[in-house]
Amino acid sequence: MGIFRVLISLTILLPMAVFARPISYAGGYTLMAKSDYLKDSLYLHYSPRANYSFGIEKLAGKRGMPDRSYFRGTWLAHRLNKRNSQLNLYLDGGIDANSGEYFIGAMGDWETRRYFAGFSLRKMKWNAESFFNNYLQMGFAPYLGDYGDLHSWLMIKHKYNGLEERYSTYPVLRFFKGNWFFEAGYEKEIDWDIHLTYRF
Amino acid sequence: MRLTLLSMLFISALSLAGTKKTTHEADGDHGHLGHKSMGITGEVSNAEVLKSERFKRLVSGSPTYNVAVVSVNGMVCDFCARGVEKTFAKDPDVVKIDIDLELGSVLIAYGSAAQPSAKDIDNRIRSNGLDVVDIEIFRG
Repeated sequence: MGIFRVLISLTILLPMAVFARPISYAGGYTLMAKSDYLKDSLYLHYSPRANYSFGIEKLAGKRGMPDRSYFRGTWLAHRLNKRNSQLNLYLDGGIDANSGEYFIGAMGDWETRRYFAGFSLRKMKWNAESFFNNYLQMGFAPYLGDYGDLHSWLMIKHKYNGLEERYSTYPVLRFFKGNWFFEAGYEKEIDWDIHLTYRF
Repeated sequence: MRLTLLSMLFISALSLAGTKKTTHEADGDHGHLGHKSMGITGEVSNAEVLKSERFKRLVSGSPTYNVAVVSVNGMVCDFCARGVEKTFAKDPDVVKIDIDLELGSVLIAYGSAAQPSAKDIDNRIRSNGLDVVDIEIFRG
């Protein structure tokens, strides 16, 4: 039933399918810090070209989950640039050398200056358990900032926590300015979902 | 309570966004024109761009110049365009860069001695994962 609900949601949202891009411009480095109900993580990646990146993620588990250090890679499988929109499909994966545990995933996004929608599907093997962690996210910009301005987005995120087989839906605020990106969401059961990115 | 905190954060951001600047200088010698459309909206020709305040501000202070006017597809967000600015800012021949998200256009001002080529500009923008639709280089 859970997978069915995710598939139905994806069928509706996939054509509109964003978030902090997992690949930077050619030669760019990106530092991503994330915190949610399951983990705190720090991920540094480098993009030799605009269509792939690789890096190291240090992850501190919560709720009894062990820490991991992933070697990660992301590939931009498809991009469609239009005058007023951009569509991306990414595939990614990571492996922890010590435990051999891994994750594989697919992410997609579509955005205009005003609207966006994105999704992430991730299968994880962690602490000897295999489960999915997925989400859908969509939102809009209440005003259109010019280049260099502070950009703000109002969003909603629908997340599937496969470890606990639970769905949650919550509001998210996103801001970016210059090389900084910040996103925060909150839901009573899962607490904060925070993401900070810096590109250099 | 926490939702209230999120709401207050967002309202503060909106207030901050309302205090727009008109001019902003980038690092070193790579100036940056005002991040505004300068009154240009929708589809515009390069000839119109040349008459715009945006263009005049780009070349102000340079009696001679070469300017590339580039139309780009896929440049829909500030984060997407950031790489374009960084790529050209590394070029010592580039004096100023202006990016307009609304128009999907990039203006690149080169020093008078520079010989910018459309192919090189095209390659640099494509290296950022964006598509070039049109390039015109005006030599001053």
